[in-house]
Amino acid sequence: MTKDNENELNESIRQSLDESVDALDANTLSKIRQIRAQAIEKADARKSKHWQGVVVGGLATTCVMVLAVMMLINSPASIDPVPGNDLELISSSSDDLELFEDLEFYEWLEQNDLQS
Amino acid sequence: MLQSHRDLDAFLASVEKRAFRMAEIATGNKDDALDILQDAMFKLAEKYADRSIEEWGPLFTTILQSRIRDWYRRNLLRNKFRAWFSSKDEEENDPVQQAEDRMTRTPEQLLQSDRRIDELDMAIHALPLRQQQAFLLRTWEGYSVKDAANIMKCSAGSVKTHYSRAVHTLRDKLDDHWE
Repeated sequence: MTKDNENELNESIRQSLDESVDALDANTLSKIRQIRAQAIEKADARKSKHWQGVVVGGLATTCVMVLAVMMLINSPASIDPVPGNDLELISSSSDDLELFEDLEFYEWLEQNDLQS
Repeated sequence: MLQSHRDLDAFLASVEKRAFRMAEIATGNKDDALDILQDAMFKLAEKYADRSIEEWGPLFTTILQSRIRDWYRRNLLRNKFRAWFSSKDEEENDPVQQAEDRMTRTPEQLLQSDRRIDELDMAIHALPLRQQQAFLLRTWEGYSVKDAANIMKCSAGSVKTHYSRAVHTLRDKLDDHWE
Protein backbone atom coordinates (compact mmCIF):
# COMPACT_ATOMS: atom_id res chain seq x y z
CA MET A 1 0.00 0.00 0.00
CA THR A 2 1.44 3.38 -0.94
CA LYS A 3 1.56 6.26 1.51
CA ASP A 4 -0.97 8.19 -0.61
CA ASN A 5 -3.41 5.30 -0.56
CA GLU A 6 -3.00 4.94 3.17
CA ASN A 7 -3.61 8.64 3.72
CA GLU A 8 -6.65 8.52 1.46
CA LEU A 9 -8.10 5.59 3.37
CA ASN A 10 -7.35 7.23 6.71
CA GLU A 11 -8.95 10.49 5.64
CA SER A 12 -12.01 8.64 4.43
CA ILE A 13 -12.28 6.72 7.71
CA ARG A 14 -11.77 9.90 9.75
CA GLN A 15 -14.59 11.61 7.87
CA SER A 16 -16.94 8.70 8.45
CA LEU A 17 -16.09 8.61 12.15
CA ASP A 18 -16.80 12.33 12.42
CA GLU A 19 -20.09 11.81 10.63
CA SER A 20 -20.97 9.05 13.07
CA VAL A 21 -20.44 11.48 15.96
CA ASP A 22 -22.75 14.01 14.32
CA ALA A 23 -25.33 11.29 13.74
CA LEU A 24 -25.68 10.25 17.39
CA ASP A 25 -29.34 9.98 18.38
CA ALA A 26 -31.03 12.39 20.80
CA ASN A 27 -31.49 9.76 23.50
CA THR A 28 -27.77 8.91 23.57
CA LEU A 29 -26.81 12.59 23.54
CA SER A 30 -29.13 13.24 26.46
CA LYS A 31 -27.54 10.40 28.46
CA ILE A 32 -24.05 11.69 27.67
CA ARG A 33 -25.02 15.17 28.88
CA GLN A 34 -26.42 13.70 32.11
CA ILE A 35 -23.16 11.85 32.72
CA ARG A 36 -21.20 15.07 32.16
CA ALA A 37 -23.43 16.99 34.60
CA GLN A 38 -22.90 14.27 37.23
CA ALA A 39 -19.14 14.42 36.66
CA ILE A 40 -19.12 18.18 37.25
CA GLU A 41 -21.16 17.66 40.43
CA LYS A 42 -18.48 15.22 41.58
CA ALA A 43 -15.80 17.82 40.91
CA ASP A 44 -17.83 20.40 42.93
CA ALA A 45 -18.30 17.94 45.78
CA ARG A 46 -14.59 17.20 45.75
CA LYS A 47 -13.77 20.91 45.94
CA SER A 48 -16.11 21.52 48.88
CA LYS A 49 -14.77 18.39 50.59
CA HIS A 50 -11.29 19.76 50.08
CA TRP A 51 -12.22 23.06 51.78
CA GLN A 52 -14.02 21.22 54.57
CA GLY A 53 -10.83 19.27 55.09
CA VAL A 54 -8.77 22.46 55.16
CA VAL A 55 -11.10 24.09 57.74
CA VAL A 56 -11.29 20.98 59.96
CA GLY A 57 -7.54 20.48 59.68
CA GLY A 58 -6.89 24.13 60.55
CA LEU A 59 -9.18 23.97 63.57
CA ALA A 60 -7.58 20.77 64.77
CA THR A 61 -4.08 22.25 64.41
CA THR A 62 -5.13 25.40 66.30
CA CYS A 63 -6.64 23.33 69.12
CA VAL A 64 -3.50 21.23 69.42
CA MET A 65 -1.32 24.35 69.49
CA VAL A 66 -3.47 26.06 72.14
CA LEU A 67 -3.43 22.90 74.24
CA ALA A 68 0.35 22.63 73.89
CA VAL A 69 0.86 26.25 74.95
CA MET A 70 -1.47 25.80 77.94
CA MET A 71 0.39 22.68 79.01
CA LEU A 72 3.71 24.49 78.74
CA ILE A 73 2.46 27.37 80.85
CA ASN A 74 0.96 25.11 83.52
CA SER A 75 3.68 22.51 83.57
CA PRO A 76 5.43 22.00 87.01
CA ALA A 77 8.81 22.66 85.43
CA SER A 78 7.81 26.21 84.69
CA ILE A 79 6.93 26.98 88.31
CA ASP A 80 10.02 28.14 90.18
CA PRO A 81 10.45 26.32 93.43
CA VAL A 82 9.84 28.68 96.32
CA PRO A 83 12.92 27.68 98.36
CA GLY A 84 15.13 28.42 95.41
CA ASN A 85 13.60 31.82 95.10
CA ASP A 86 14.17 32.47 98.77
CA LEU A 87 17.78 31.40 98.54
CA GLU A 88 18.24 33.69 95.56
CA LEU A 89 16.74 36.54 97.56
CA ILE A 90 18.92 35.76 100.50
CA SER A 91 22.04 35.35 98.44
CA SER A 92 21.36 38.55 96.51
CA SER A 93 22.34 40.61 99.55
CA SER A 94 25.67 39.96 101.28
CA ASP A 95 24.48 41.72 104.49
CA ASP A 96 21.47 39.44 104.79
CA LEU A 97 23.66 36.42 104.27
CA GLU A 98 25.94 37.49 107.10
CA LEU A 99 22.90 37.99 109.32
CA PHE A 100 21.76 34.45 108.71
CA GLU A 101 25.26 33.06 109.21
CA ASP A 102 25.51 34.82 112.64
CA LEU A 103 21.90 34.26 113.62
CA GLU A 104 22.80 32.18 116.66
CA PHE A 105 25.21 34.92 117.85
CA TYR A 106 22.54 37.61 117.60
CA GLU A 107 20.05 35.42 119.47
CA TRP A 108 22.63 34.89 122.26
CA LEU A 109 23.37 38.62 122.29
CA GLU A 110 19.73 39.48 122.63
CA GLN A 111 19.24 37.01 125.47
CA ASN A 112 22.27 38.43 127.33
CA ASP A 113 21.01 41.97 126.85
CA LEU A 114 17.65 41.01 128.31
CA GLN A 115 19.22 39.29 131.29
CA SER A 116 21.51 42.20 132.02
CA MET B 1 -20.06 26.99 39.23
CA LEU B 2 -16.34 27.76 39.57
CA GLN B 3 -14.36 28.90 36.54
CA SER B 4 -12.25 25.73 36.65
CA HIS B 5 -15.43 23.64 36.61
CA ARG B 6 -16.78 25.64 33.70
CA ASP B 7 -13.53 24.83 31.90
CA LEU B 8 -13.89 21.17 32.82
CA ASP B 9 -17.49 21.17 31.58
CA ALA B 10 -16.40 22.73 28.28
CA PHE B 11 -13.56 20.23 27.93
CA LEU B 12 -15.81 17.23 28.59
CA ALA B 13 -18.39 18.60 26.16
CA SER B 14 -15.70 18.79 23.49
CA VAL B 15 -14.54 15.17 23.87
CA GLU B 16 -17.58 13.26 25.11
CA LYS B 17 -19.09 12.23 21.77
CA ARG B 18 -15.86 10.94 20.29
CA ALA B 19 -15.05 9.18 23.55
CA PHE B 20 -18.45 7.53 23.52
CA ARG B 21 -18.00 6.41 19.91
CA MET B 22 -14.56 4.95 20.68
CA ALA B 23 -16.03 2.97 23.55
CA GLU B 24 -19.01 1.92 21.46
CA ILE B 25 -16.81 0.70 18.62
CA ALA B 26 -14.64 -1.23 21.10
CA THR B 27 -17.52 -2.82 23.01
CA GLY B 28 -20.11 -2.97 20.24
CA ASN B 29 -22.66 -2.01 22.86
CA LYS B 30 -24.22 1.35 23.67
CA ASP B 31 -24.88 0.73 27.38
CA ASP B 32 -21.38 -0.57 28.05
CA ALA B 33 -19.98 2.41 26.15
CA LEU B 34 -21.99 4.80 28.35
CA ASP B 35 -20.72 3.02 31.49
CA ILE B 36 -17.13 3.34 30.30
CA LEU B 37 -17.65 7.02 29.45
CA GLN B 38 -19.16 7.62 32.88
CA ASP B 39 -16.24 5.95 34.66
CA ALA B 40 -13.71 7.97 32.67
CA MET B 41 -15.50 11.30 33.21
CA PHE B 42 -16.01 10.67 36.95
CA LYS B 43 -12.39 9.73 37.46
CA LEU B 44 -11.14 12.82 35.63
CA ALA B 45 -13.50 15.06 37.64
CA GLU B 46 -12.67 13.47 40.99
CA LYS B 47 -8.92 13.04 40.65
CA TYR B 48 -7.62 15.45 38.05
CA ALA B 49 -10.00 18.45 37.99
CA ASP B 50 -7.28 20.65 39.47
CA ARG B 51 -4.76 19.82 36.73
CA SER B 52 -4.10 22.22 33.86
CA ILE B 53 -6.43 22.22 30.85
CA GLU B 54 -3.59 21.01 28.59
CA GLU B 55 -3.19 17.88 30.71
CA TRP B 56 -6.86 16.89 30.60
CA GLY B 57 -6.81 15.60 27.00
CA PRO B 58 -4.09 12.95 27.40
CA LEU B 59 -5.29 12.11 30.94
CA PHE B 60 -8.89 11.58 29.83
CA THR B 61 -7.86 9.48 26.83
CA THR B 62 -5.58 7.36 29.02
CA ILE B 63 -8.39 6.74 31.52
CA LEU B 64 -10.84 5.95 28.74
CA GLN B 65 -8.50 3.47 27.05
CA SER B 66 -7.72 1.89 30.39
CA ARG B 67 -11.45 1.42 31.08
CA ILE B 68 -11.93 -0.10 27.62
CA ARG B 69 -9.08 -2.57 28.32
CA ASP B 70 -10.68 -3.47 31.67
CA TRP B 71 -13.99 -4.09 29.92
CA TYR B 72 -12.24 -6.35 27.41
CA ARG B 73 -10.56 -8.40 30.14
CA ARG B 74 -13.82 -8.82 32.04
CA ASN B 75 -15.67 -9.74 28.88
CA LEU B 76 -13.01 -12.25 27.88
CA LEU B 77 -13.26 -13.93 31.28
CA ARG B 78 -17.06 -13.94 31.12
CA ASN B 79 -17.02 -15.49 27.67
CA LYS B 80 -14.54 -18.16 28.81
CA PHE B 81 -16.81 -19.13 31.71
CA ARG B 82 -19.82 -19.12 29.41
CA ALA B 83 -18.02 -21.35 26.91
CA TRP B 84 -16.79 -23.68 29.67
CA PHE B 85 -20.22 -24.14 31.27
CA SER B 86 -21.94 -24.73 27.96
CA SER B 87 -19.26 -27.04 26.55
CA LYS B 88 -21.18 -30.19 27.54
CA ASP B 89 -24.04 -29.58 25.17
CA GLU B 90 -21.99 -27.70 22.65
CA GLU B 91 -23.79 -29.05 19.64
CA GLU B 92 -27.24 -27.99 20.81
CA ASN B 93 -26.10 -24.71 22.35
CA ASP B 94 -23.13 -23.41 20.42
CA PRO B 95 -21.86 -20.40 22.47
CA VAL B 96 -20.96 -18.56 19.32
CA GLN B 97 -24.50 -18.98 18.07
CA GLN B 98 -26.00 -18.19 21.47
CA ALA B 99 -23.81 -15.20 22.25
CA GLU B 100 -25.44 -11.86 21.96
CA ASP B 101 -24.65 -10.17 18.70
CA ARG B 102 -23.65 -6.77 20.00
CA MET B 103 -23.54 -5.25 16.55
CA THR B 104 -27.12 -6.23 15.74
CA ARG B 105 -29.46 -3.30 15.42
CA THR B 106 -33.14 -3.07 14.81
CA PRO B 107 -34.34 -2.70 11.21
CA GLU B 108 -35.33 0.88 12.00
CA GLN B 109 -31.85 1.71 13.26
CA LEU B 110 -30.31 0.07 10.24
CA LEU B 111 -32.48 2.12 7.95
CA GLN B 112 -31.56 5.30 9.74
CA SER B 113 -27.86 4.71 10.06
CA ASP B 114 -25.33 5.28 7.40
CA ARG B 115 -24.26 2.00 5.85
CA ARG B 116 -20.69 3.16 5.53
CA ILE B 117 -20.54 3.95 9.22
CA ASP B 118 -21.94 0.54 10.10
CA GLU B 119 -19.40 -1.20 7.89
CA LEU B 120 -16.60 0.84 9.38
CA ASP B 121 -17.80 0.15 12.93
CA MET B 122 -17.87 -3.57 12.28
CA ALA B 123 -14.46 -3.55 10.57
CA ILE B 124 -12.78 -1.65 13.42
CA HIS B 125 -14.70 -3.63 16.07
CA ALA B 126 -13.34 -6.85 14.52
CA LEU B 127 -9.73 -5.70 15.00
CA PRO B 128 -7.80 -6.84 18.09
CA LEU B 129 -8.16 -4.23 20.85
CA ARG B 130 -4.58 -2.96 20.68
CA GLN B 131 -4.87 -2.45 16.91
CA GLN B 132 -8.18 -0.64 17.41
CA GLN B 133 -6.64 1.65 20.00
CA ALA B 134 -3.50 2.37 17.98
CA PHE B 135 -5.52 3.07 14.86
CA LEU B 136 -8.14 5.32 16.48
CA LEU B 137 -5.64 7.23 18.61
CA ARG B 138 -3.40 7.90 15.63
CA THR B 139 -5.94 8.40 12.86
CA TRP B 140 -8.93 9.90 14.63
CA GLU B 141 -7.53 11.56 17.75
CA GLY B 142 -4.35 12.64 15.95
CA TYR B 143 -1.95 11.58 18.71
CA SER B 144 1.74 11.14 17.87
CA VAL B 145 3.30 7.67 18.12
CA LYS B 146 4.97 8.71 21.38
CA ASP B 147 1.76 10.05 22.95
CA ALA B 148 -0.23 7.03 21.77
CA ALA B 149 2.41 4.78 23.35
CA ASN B 150 2.07 6.65 26.65
CA ILE B 151 -1.71 6.35 26.56
CA MET B 152 -1.60 2.65 25.62
CA LYS B 153 1.21 2.02 28.13
CA CYS B 154 3.39 0.26 25.56
CA SER B 155 6.44 1.07 23.42
CA ALA B 156 6.41 3.30 20.36
CA GLY B 157 7.45 0.29 18.29
CA SER B 158 4.35 -1.63 19.44
CA VAL B 159 2.12 1.29 18.47
CA LYS B 160 3.66 1.36 14.98
CA THR B 161 3.19 -2.38 14.58
CA HIS B 162 -0.43 -2.36 15.80
CA TYR B 163 -1.24 0.66 13.67
CA SER B 164 0.30 -0.83 10.54
CA ARG B 165 -1.53 -4.14 10.99
CA ALA B 166 -4.80 -2.29 11.59
CA VAL B 167 -4.41 -0.21 8.43
CA HIS B 168 -3.67 -3.28 6.33
CA THR B 169 -6.62 -5.23 7.74
CA LEU B 170 -9.00 -2.32 7.26
CA ARG B 171 -7.68 -1.78 3.77
CA ASP B 172 -8.42 -5.42 2.91
CA LYS B 173 -11.89 -5.32 4.46
CA LEU B 174 -13.03 -1.95 3.22
CA ASP B 175 -11.22 -1.90 -0.09
CA ASP B 176 -14.22 -2.74 -2.26
CA HIS B 177 -16.54 -0.17 -0.73
CA TRP B 178 -14.20 2.68 0.06
CA GLU B 179 -12.48 3.40 -3.23
